[in-house]
Amino acid sequence: MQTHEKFASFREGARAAVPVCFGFFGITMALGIAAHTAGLSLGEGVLMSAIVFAAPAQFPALELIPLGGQAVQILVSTFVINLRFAIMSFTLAPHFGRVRMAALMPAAHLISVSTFAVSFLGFQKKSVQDKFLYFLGVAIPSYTCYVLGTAVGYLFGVRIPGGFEEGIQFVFPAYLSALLAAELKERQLILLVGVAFLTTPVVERLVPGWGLILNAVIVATGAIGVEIWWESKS
Amino acid sequence: MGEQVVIILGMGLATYLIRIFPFLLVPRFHPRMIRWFQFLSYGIIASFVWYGLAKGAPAPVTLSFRSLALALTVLVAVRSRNAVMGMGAGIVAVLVLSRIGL
Repeated sequence: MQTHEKFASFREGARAAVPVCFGFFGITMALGIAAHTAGLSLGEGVLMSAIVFAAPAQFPALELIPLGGQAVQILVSTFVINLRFAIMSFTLAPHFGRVRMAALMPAAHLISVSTFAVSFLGFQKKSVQDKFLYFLGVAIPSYTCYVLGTAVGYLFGVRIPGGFEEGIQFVFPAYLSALLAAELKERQLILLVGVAFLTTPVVERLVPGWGLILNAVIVATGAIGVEIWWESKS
Repeated sequence: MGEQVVIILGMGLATYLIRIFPFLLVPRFHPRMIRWFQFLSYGIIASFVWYGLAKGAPAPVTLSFRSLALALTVLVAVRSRNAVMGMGAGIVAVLVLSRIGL
């Protein structure tokens, strides 16, 4: 593959990351404010965002840190909350089959819900020649926005102006659903997405905190079962 | 090194190990397993769309206008085959609907 083709994959990924950056700024500015309130220094707040890069684990930690003596609880909750990343890494791994471990090791740190989802949907496009560089194109700007947003929130206590919070909160679900709607063509996958969307609130109610991943596992397993049954029948 | 920095480093290490572990297994998956992961990915993404929709919705009315905006997002994205256009339509819709208090 030519160098310019590889760079095109990175650029395409970076373009796809623009909405993610908007969404991240909304979240991480709040994270910066929370770090300030928790008594962390600017360096500590930014360090947390830079090396954890997982807001759902950071917010609870920032609630517990001011109490003191909560290290074990914070580490255990971080581990449990972030276990979902293992499934995302498992899913991305087959796409990065030929990438060297030296490149994968730093790149793995950039896996988040947003970078995973946008990259995975991008991989389905024929125009993406190099999936790893596409992932980096999505992940590097997203990560940069995440860390910068934390610093901005910490330093300036910036909040999203009233009336726009709804719009910022809606960026992520709107972008993912629009990507799905624009790119999905296979009927089976459209059906799977619809079923997963509708059953999530039920499973989440039954198993709070784990419903999202558990629901996806159940639906995916059901779908593969149906596919095997269908193939054996025909 | 302060306790807070140690906690942050521990959080980073725990999260990183979870992220890198599957790559270390050097997975050589059966095609059926890869297909399962494909299904799983779409399932996760659909679940997160629901989560994003429901997150921080203080009242059923908020959820209802977000749902309307989501329907418009999907409609515009399907018709235009352009995700950014669909997202833009949805965000404008959610801003307008939240202003008029639908």
